Amino acid sequence: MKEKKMRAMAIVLAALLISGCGVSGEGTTAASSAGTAAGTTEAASTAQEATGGTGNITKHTLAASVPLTGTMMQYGTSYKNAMEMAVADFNAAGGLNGEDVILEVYDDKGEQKEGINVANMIIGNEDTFAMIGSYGSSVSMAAAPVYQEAGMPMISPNTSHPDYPDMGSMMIPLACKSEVVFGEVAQKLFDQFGACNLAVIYQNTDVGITTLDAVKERFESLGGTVCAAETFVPNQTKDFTPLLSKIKATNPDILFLVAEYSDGASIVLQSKQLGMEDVQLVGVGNVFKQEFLDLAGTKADGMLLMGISRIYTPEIMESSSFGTYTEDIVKRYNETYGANGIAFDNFAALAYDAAMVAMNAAKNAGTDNTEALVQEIKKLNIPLCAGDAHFDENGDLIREIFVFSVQDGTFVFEASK
Amino acid sequence: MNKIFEFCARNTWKLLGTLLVLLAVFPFVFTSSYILRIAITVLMFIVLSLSLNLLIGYLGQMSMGHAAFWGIGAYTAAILSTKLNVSSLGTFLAAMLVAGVFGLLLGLPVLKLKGYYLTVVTLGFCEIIRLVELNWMDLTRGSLGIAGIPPLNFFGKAFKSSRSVYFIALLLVIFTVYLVHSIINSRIGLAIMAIRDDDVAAASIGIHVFVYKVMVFIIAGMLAGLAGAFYAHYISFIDPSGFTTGQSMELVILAIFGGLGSIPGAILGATILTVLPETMRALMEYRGMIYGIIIVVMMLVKPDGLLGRVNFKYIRQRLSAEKAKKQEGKSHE
Amino acid sequence: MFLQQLINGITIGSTYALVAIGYSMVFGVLELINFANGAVYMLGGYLTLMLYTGLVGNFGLSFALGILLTGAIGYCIDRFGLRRLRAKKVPKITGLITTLGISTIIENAVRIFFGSETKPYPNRIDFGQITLGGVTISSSQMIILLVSVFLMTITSLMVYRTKMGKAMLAISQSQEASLLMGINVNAIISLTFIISSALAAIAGTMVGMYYQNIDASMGFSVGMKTLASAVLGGVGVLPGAMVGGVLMGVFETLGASYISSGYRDAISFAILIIVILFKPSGLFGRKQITKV
Repeated sequence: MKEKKMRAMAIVLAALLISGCGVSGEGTTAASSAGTAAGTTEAASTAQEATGGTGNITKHTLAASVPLTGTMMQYGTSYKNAMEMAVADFNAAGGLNGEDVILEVYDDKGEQKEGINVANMIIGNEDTFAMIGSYGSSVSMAAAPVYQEAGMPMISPNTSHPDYPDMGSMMIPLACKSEVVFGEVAQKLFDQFGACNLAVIYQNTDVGITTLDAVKERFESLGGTVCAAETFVPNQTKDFTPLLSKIKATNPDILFLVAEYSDGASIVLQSKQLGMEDVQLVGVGNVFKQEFLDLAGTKADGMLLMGISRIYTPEIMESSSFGTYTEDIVKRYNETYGANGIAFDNFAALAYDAAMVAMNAAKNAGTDNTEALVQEIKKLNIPLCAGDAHFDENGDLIREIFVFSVQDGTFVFEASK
Repeated sequence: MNKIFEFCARNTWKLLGTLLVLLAVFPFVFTSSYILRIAITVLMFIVLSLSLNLLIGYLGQMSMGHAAFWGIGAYTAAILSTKLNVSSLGTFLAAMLVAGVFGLLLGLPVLKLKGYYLTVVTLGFCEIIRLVELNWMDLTRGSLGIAGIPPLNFFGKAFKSSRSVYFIALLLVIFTVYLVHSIINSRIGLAIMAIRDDDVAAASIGIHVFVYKVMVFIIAGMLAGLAGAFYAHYISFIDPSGFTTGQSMELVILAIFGGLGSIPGAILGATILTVLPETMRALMEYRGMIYGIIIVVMMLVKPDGLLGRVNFKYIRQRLSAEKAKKQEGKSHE
Repeated sequence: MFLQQLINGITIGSTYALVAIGYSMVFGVLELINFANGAVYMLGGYLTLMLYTGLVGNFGLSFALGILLTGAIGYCIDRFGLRRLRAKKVPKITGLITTLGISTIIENAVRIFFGSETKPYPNRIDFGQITLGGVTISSSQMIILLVSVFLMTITSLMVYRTKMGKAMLAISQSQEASLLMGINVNAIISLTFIISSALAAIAGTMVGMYYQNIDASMGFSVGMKTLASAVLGGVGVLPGAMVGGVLMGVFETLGASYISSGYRDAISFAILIIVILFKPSGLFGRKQITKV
C-alpha cells in the first residue's frame, strides 16, 4: 500500500517537474528558434541602417498564435514554417537596424479559450511589437479584444469575418471580407454562364455563410437563380450524398462550393458518383491547394476556381508570372519544408506576408508608437508574395481576383483581374 | 499522505481561512494579465466541475452534455446583453433560469434511463443544442457568433480589469461551493447519495427518486448556465465552437480527475487540468499527446481521482472519536 | 429521389454499423463505453494506408497487416490501460476516462507522425456503378453493405454459437463467477478488444476507400454516431448494432434531405432520443430486471 502511494507521489512530482521545466524553458525555445532563424547573419547585423524611420525601435519580438495541435494543426504548421522563414530572411537582410527579430510562436489549438490565454501571454511580453494570428475567425475574434486593449497590432492573415475589422484599431486583416470578393465572383460567373441555375453547397462557418450571402445577393440581382443552398458542418460531415442528391433534383447548371480542400474534394468525387457529370463545378479560395488535386484527381477536370488566393503548384509557377520575389520564396519554402509536409500554399503566403509587413513597418515607423506602426503596416508598401493588396477608403482590404481551372488533374492559370 | 489528509481534516476551518486570504491576496501579488487570466479560467472551470460533480459524483448520472448548459447560459447572457442591454445581474439570473429549464427538459425524460443510455442521450442533447446554436441564425447568428458582449456590469458599474473579474469569479466559486456543500450535507444530499447507491432501495424507503433527480439536473444546469453567463461577459465573443461534445468530455475528465463526490477534489481537478496544459506549452505539438498520457497514467495510479476516496468528514469523525477515547482514558486514570 | 436518398443512407449506415459492432461487443462484455474506438477506427485506416504506400505496396497484404496491427493496439489498450483498473475493481467511469485519454493520445500521435493534412486513399472496391430508374448505386456502396452484413454474421455466430462467445456472455453477467467457472477472464476480454479493434480497422479502411480520403479527425464524429447506433440497437446485441447503424444513417440522410441539411445530425440524435425514451433498452435490447 505504502509503495503504491510512493509511486503516486513520484508521478505527481514528475509532472510538476515537467511543468516547471516548461515554464523556464519557454524563453529558451523561443530564443533557440530565433537562433536558427537568424542563421549566419552576424556580419550583416553590425551594419547600422541609416535609412531607419521616424520612431525608435525598442522592441524586437514578433509573436504568433497559431494552432499547432488539434484539427487545424496543418494550417498552423504552414503558418509557423512561413513565419520562421520570413523572420530568417528579414534578419539576414539586416533585421531591425542590425538587431535580430525574435519570433515567438504559441499554440492556441484552434480553440477560443486557448487563444485568449495565448493573447494574455503575448501582451505580457514587453518586447513584443506585433502579433500574427490566429487561423480561423473564431479564435481571432475571441482574442481580438485582449490585443485591442493592450494596444498590440494584430495581423490576421486569413480572418475574413465581416465584424473583425470593426473590433478595433489594432485589427489588421490580410484577407478580404466575403462581401467584397464574392459579389465580384458572382458577377464573373454571370458574365460567363448567363442567367442559369446556381446551386451552392457551403460549410457552416463564418466564411461559408458570408460567401453564400454575397453570391446569392449579386447573382439573383443580376437575374440568375440560386436553386439550392445546402450546408454542412466541416470536420464532422464526410458524406455529402444527401445534399448532392437533393441539389441534383433541382437541375443546377453550376455547383458552387465553399469548403476546405478536403471536403471540397469529397464533394467533387461524390457528385461524380451520383452522376452529376455535366454540372459546372466552381470552387473558391479554400480549395486552392495541391492537396485538393491529390484527393480529387482528374475527377475535378473542368472545375473553375475563383478567389483572391493564388495557387503555387510547380505547373502554375512555370506558366504564370507571379514575379521573382514570390518564385524565390516558394522555391526555398518547398526545399525546406515541402519534403515531409505541406507544400507552399496560400496560407503560407499570407503568413509570410504578415510577418514581413509587420517587421518592415517596425523598421520604418519604429515600435514605440503603436498607432504609427499600425498605419505603417496598413500601407502594405512592400512586395507581397500572396499578390498585391491595399486598403481602400472604407478600410476594406482589396485584392485581385484570380481564376484557375483544373485540366488533366493539374491547375491551369486562367486570368486575373 | 494520510497524515496530510488528517491534518487537513483537523484544521479545516483554519486552512479554509488561509486559503481564502491567499486567494484574496493572489491578484495583488501576481499582476500579470496572463496569470490572472489563467486564474479566472480555473475559477470558472471549478464552477463547471462542481456542478457536474453534483450530477456524476453525487447523483451517479453519467452526463456527457454539460457543455450544452454552459453554452445555453453563455448565449442567454450574450443575447440579452447585446440586444436588450440587460445588466449582468439580470443576465446571470436569466442564464441560470434558462439553463435550469433546459436541465428540467433533459432531466424529466431521462429519469428512467441508466448507464450508457443516459450517457448517449445527454451526448445527443449536447449535439442538438450546439446545432441549434449553429443554425438558428436569427437568434444566435450561427457560426458568425455574437461579438461585442459588454463586460461584467453590476448596479451601473462596469468591471473590466482582470482583477475585478477575478474577484467576481471568486465570488461565483464561493457561492457554488457553499451551495453544493449545503446540498450535500442536508437531508437532500443524503437522499441524493442514497439514490446514487441504489435507487430502488431509496425509493422503497420513501425517497422521491423522481423529484430529487430532476432537482439535481436543474441545479447542475443552473450552475453551468451561471458559468456560461460569466464566460460570455468575460470573453465578449462567443460562437458555437466552444460548446461541443468534446468540451463536455473535457468537463467529465475534470470532474473525475479530481475525484467524484468530493468538493476539494473537483476544485483540485479543475485547477490542475487547466494549469497543466499551460505549463506544457514548450512541448509545442506534443502537448496534446502528453496530456492524454498524463490522464491515462493518472487513472492507473489513482483510479478514483485525486481525492475520490478521501472522506474528510469521516476522517474528522474518526479523529474526534480517537481524541474522545484518549480523554476518556485520561479521565479514568 | 427518395430511393436514392435511402440507398445513400443505407451506405452511410453500414459504415456506422461496422464500427458499432465493435462498440457493442466491448459494451456487452465490460459494460464500458470504449471512447477510444473512434480513434482506433481512424488509426486502422491510417495504418493500412501507410503500410501500402510506405512498405508493402500490395493493398490486400497491407489491409491484412493493418487489421492485425490495429488488433494488437486494441490488445495493448486493454492490457496496459484497462486491465489494472479491473483488478482494482474501480468504478466503470474510470475506464471511460482512460479510453478518452487513449483516444487523445492516438489522435495527436497520428497528426504528429503521419501529418495532419487529409490524405488521399486508393479505392480498390470501385468497379463502376449501375443506374436503375434514376437511382445510382456504386460498387463501393454494395461492397460496404455486404462486408458489414458478413462481419455482423461472423461476429454474431462467434458470440452466440461458440464456447468463446459463451464465455463472453458469462463475463458480462459476472466476472467473478466466470473466473470460478474456469474462464480465463482477462484473455477473453483482451480478445474482445482485439476483435473490436480489428473490426474498427476494417471499417476505417473501407470508409477511407469509399470516400477516397482519410484524416485524423474522422474518428471523433463517427465515434459519437456509432456509439449512438450501438445504443439504438440495444447494447450488446450485435444484429441490433447493425440495424442501429443503418437506421442512424438513414435518419441522417432523410433528415438532411427532407428537413434541413444544417440540422442533419441533430435530427438523427433527436430520433435516437425519442426511440430510447420509448424503448429504454434500445430496439433489440432485453429489458433489464433491477434487483435490490
